[in-house]
Amino acid sequence: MTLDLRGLGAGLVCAAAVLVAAGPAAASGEFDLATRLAMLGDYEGSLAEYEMFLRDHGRHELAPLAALAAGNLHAEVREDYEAAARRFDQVVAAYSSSPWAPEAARRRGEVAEALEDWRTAGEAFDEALELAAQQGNTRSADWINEVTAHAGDAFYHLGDHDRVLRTYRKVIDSDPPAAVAATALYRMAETYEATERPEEAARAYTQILETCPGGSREVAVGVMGKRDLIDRHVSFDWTPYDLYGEAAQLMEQRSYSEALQKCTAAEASCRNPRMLECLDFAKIYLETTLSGDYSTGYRRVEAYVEKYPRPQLAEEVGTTLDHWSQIVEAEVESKRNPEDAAALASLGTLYLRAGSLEAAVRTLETARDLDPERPGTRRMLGYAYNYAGRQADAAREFEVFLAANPDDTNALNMVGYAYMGQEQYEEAITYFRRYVELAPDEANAHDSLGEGLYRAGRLEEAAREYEKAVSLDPSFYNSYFFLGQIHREIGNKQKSAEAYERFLELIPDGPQADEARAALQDLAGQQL
Amino acid sequence: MKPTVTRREFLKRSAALGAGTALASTGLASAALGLPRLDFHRPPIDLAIAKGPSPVDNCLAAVEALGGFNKFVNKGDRVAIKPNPVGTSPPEMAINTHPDMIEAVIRECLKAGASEVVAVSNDDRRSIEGNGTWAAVERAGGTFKILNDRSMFREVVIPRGRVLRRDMFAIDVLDADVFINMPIAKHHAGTRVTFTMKNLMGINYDRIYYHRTDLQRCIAEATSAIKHSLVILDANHALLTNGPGGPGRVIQPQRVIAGVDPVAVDAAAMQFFRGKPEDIGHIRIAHELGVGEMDLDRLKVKEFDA
Repeated sequence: MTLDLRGLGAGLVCAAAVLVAAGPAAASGEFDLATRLAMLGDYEGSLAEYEMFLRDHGRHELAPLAALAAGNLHAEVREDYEAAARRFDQVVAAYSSSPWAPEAARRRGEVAEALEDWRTAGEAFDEALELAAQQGNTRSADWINEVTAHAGDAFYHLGDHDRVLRTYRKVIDSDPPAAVAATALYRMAETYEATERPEEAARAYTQILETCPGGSREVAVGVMGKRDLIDRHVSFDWTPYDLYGEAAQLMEQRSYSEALQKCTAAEASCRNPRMLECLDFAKIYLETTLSGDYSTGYRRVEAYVEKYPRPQLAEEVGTTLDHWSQIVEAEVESKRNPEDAAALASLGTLYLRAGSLEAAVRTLETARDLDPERPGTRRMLGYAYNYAGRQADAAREFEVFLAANPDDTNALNMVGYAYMGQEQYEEAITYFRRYVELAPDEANAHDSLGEGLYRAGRLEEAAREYEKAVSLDPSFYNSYFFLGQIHREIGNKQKSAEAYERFLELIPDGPQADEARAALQDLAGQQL
Repeated sequence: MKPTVTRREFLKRSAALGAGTALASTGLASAALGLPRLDFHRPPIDLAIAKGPSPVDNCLAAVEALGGFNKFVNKGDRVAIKPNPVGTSPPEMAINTHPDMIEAVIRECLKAGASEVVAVSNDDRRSIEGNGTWAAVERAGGTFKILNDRSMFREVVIPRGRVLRRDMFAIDVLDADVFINMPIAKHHAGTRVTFTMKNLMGINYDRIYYHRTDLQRCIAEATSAIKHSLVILDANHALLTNGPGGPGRVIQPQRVIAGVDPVAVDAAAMQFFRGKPEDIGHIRIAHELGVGEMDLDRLKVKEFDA
């Protein structure tokens, strides 16, 4: 588009009348403009707009957010931390009741952290927690945990361990969600340990199991790892917790019957009402998954939520309600239209996601038989067979799906692994190669091909694929594990150790971690 | 493209000529200086919800209620559109945005004087061709660009971000004069629903980062970095279960929801799904970040038959 600029001046004068009047619409426009300028990379312009917005509309409801954004731009773009700090302080001081005040205090803390001003950082993070608590703790559990951790770390840097403990105690006393309480107690316990107060540490660890055993799986596992310390200072009955932990592992392996047995045994030996709450939910989940009776299961969960309005396992309960309600509706739909292949496929998929494998296979098989040409059904049935350990059936279904969707990389990967499950490695490699052709920049593609080649005994080629995988994604830990294996087998001890070490850096507690550690010890022994 | 003259410098020059700031809103001055247009049409209502059996009629009627395409698109504008073009299913399965709607929008943009209309996404070509979107875009005179190379993205700072301080987004969207987000209303196994904001995950470079950190927050913070000119949400069919890929339970609300506020549009789309807008993490966080309004009682909503 061209414009005759000679007329521009006159045009400007003529058009002088309107716009950019004071008022909410104009104010929002300036705010939007700041966003747009940032999109265009004009950060100075964006910052100027936010600053102008604050000057002209300091009482607008978006003013604290503008100040927060301006502070972030000062920090991120200009690296002017003093200016950033001023803006964050302004949000806290002038807009303390706004929902962005806790966030501004947090950012203030981060700026101070960057300057290693630990006192200011700790106090700012503390203030963020206080503001969040005043606003009814509407922040997410993750937010509170992170800010608490930063506050604790800041005071820890100062050597002010009492302040560290007071920060955590304040969070715990504010009646937070179980996930937050568990994490705060754990950090308290770690601080006690670090300051050589083992008895207090032991009590803090056991307090987690007594008051919020379902708050955080990671924390619970951590506490179980402190058994020796706890046993030296506290008399504690581990039985129900051990059984619950075993049940959790069995659930991950989809061994639901055995998991249910463990939960029942745990219930029989447990006196802790908080633990009984978690066991109650676990049993509802397992009994429903095994029976496939989701209507009853859904009603049981609804009753559970009435009994425990602030459940420890809040996320699991919410997800289960959402998922099972879909199943119940889909079951009603299928009963109404028993010949509707699409409805059955939908229901079968829901069963599969819920872990009811038998119901999933049965329903998806019926859907397939009603409409064999429907590729989506064949794909989901392939997954169901795969989970059920019926690899030959899985391969067959995925191949039908692939005939209609030859470039579906997920299906190619699944067929490959179905053949791997039958030890037909060359067939698997064919599919993995196609996967790599279609997705050459996907680490997983090279990792899968690497595994096929490794199982087929083609070690050098496998190593090349795994190297490619980690070059595309340096956090792809599975590839490091296999590189460790391969280099060990071909006698390259140095590279093997490096690969295992990198694997353990990425995933120190994973299922293959013990194997990796044993291999490293073995390699070290060989070098002596 | 980084502007060579900022808006403030332009305003200073305008003042020296004895002018007001009005022309900035028409876009003429920005265009004169080679800047992408910086002003935005503010419709008389916040949300338009058009209902009827025809997706195209619903779409056109909804935008008309907001002022019409001529209010959003000026002569010479570069327009970027982000549909949801995933999968090879027909529109009745509610997996992808209705191709007829996409075609209609492109035609209207060109009629309003757009110099080019580009549809963008990072989905694979086979899907986009298989569900009819590619042909629809080309028939209407647009171009489809698959975002499959790093050079097609540019990093931006996200001033309101915390987990997402910076991210790389499609240059075609960042530099467009008009950005139109055209999602479909679907269930999503990871985020519970996928509407406007989740649809932006098709224009950013590193989606894995979102999954690894805090998916809901990243979606909200990404939305804070992208200025929507217009949102047109396809709720002619809606996928209620097994999203985003299906197959699942499909209902037919026979509606299109249009607005300029992505949060408001998403909040309105929740009416077809279980739960309230504040139950969805990215809707709630985006509201908290000031990206938009999720409380529909505070908005002017017009629902009508197309």
